[in-house]
Amino acid sequence: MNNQDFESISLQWQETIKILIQSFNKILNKYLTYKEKTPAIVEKIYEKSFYLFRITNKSIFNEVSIVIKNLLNSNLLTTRKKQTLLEEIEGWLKRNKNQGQAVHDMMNVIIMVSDDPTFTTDRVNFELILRIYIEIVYFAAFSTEYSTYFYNLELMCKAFMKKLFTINVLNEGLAMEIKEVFVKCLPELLVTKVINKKANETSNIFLHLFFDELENSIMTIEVAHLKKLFCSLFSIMTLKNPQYFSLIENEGQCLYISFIRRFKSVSEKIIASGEQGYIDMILEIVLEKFSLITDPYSLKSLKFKEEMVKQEFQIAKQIVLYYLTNQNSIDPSKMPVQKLCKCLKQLNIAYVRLEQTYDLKVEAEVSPENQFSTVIFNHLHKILDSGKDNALTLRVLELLLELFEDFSQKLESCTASTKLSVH
Amino acid sequence: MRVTESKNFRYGIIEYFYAISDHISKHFMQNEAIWLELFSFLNINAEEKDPEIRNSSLNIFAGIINNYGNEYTPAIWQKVLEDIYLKSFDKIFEVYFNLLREEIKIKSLPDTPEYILSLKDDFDLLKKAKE
Repeated sequence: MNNQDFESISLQWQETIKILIQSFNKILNKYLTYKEKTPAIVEKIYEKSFYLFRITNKSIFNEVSIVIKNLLNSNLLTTRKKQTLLEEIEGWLKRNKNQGQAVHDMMNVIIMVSDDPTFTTDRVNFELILRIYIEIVYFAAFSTEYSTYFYNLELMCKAFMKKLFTINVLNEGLAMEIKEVFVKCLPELLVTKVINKKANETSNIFLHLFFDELENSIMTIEVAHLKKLFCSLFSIMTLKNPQYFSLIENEGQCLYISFIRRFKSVSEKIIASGEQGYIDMILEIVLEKFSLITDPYSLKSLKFKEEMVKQEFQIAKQIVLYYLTNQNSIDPSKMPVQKLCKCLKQLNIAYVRLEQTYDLKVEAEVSPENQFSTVIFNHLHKILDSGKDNALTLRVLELLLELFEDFSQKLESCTASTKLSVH
Repeated sequence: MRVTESKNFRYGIIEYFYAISDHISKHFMQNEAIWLELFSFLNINAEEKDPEIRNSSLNIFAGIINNYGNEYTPAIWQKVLEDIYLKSFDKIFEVYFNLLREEIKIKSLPDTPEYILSLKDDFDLLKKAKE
């Protein structure tokens, strides 16, 4: 037999193998609807399906994935057996990242599995799905065939995010799993930006889907979990990677800008709700995580710094103004007053530095009477003027003295209305 | 010419099994022996050298089960699946793997079939251990 004959026979048998798997799938589907199932046959079907998955390669993966999908979607197998199959899928994905079409087929399996309550209500199974999901996101980042699978990846992300929130995992203390996804995926996706421009789109889509779902259920998530989640997101979205930021061509590609804009809309929603615990949490995040406050110098070398400063500044300003206009909600004996004062001070320092040192007009579009320092100053004046809370009045006075140096210029323009307060 | 005629004749016979199965379902639905006879015949053809004959045998095999499977007794299912279909399933894979082995010898190739074969060997070992 010469090579050509051999190849033709080999291809013919490959075709038969495909038809054999299709016929197996047809029989499996029929058996799923059969009422008098026996354990022996179920075991045989499982054994053969597992076998098919183990020997699968590019040429038969489409057929095999349909068998696996049907089997996972049925109640034929025990959870343990389904789990074993999923573990096999995970291993397969790790070994076969370059097999674009096959991974694409696998995405369909995972989209389907993420709708299966067996897998999303049980912690162990949920983690398994999560790990597979991460493998697929990695694939999307590294694959050169990425664009072909883009639509499916987005679908999968949507299905997954929806599931993540509908089962209310955050309330069940699974916030760490979400953190794990971000910790594992996003930094790598950011790094791959250098290699693959599309990877950044993945991160952005991932981020927006995540926030879409988060905004819908934000007030149902416990404050402590929410804070943990935001803190880990801020840690991941670190600004200390100037190389990455300098490579970005436009603002829309910058993940941090996308992130801070979405965080802004979340914080607006929280402020509008008037829920004190949640609002305090936003203030804490502003103080602990905002570069504008913690490390304004780090912004200097970054591309699109003006947009970053603007977004962070607006969030900080909104939260500060909330506290100033709702003094009744401030309990002077508790932390928020101290934190608020710290925030005001830091914000002012950053404001002065940014405007004077870096020549950044953080509030260029705002009229002078509505500028940050003027507004803050007028609010402080009102608090002092009302004089209904001695502890708060005292703290505001201290704060004004602390701020005095930085505010001196602004102070002069407000002297008329604030004489009494300062002295 | 004769070869073609003979092929056509065999396709015709295999296709005719749909009609036969229809007849059996009407008159001998619960008759295990008749169903087994029918599937055994189809199964022989599933391992044929001619690709078109074996492919259409496999399709018709699954098609008949799809049409009447809900009415089979558990015993029919057990025998059709275990004693007939899955045996053929293993044999077809065996032929395919042997071809892949040959391919490796002829072309001194490649990672993927080797990988598949190693997996198959692993699986066979597991299977034997289980038995």
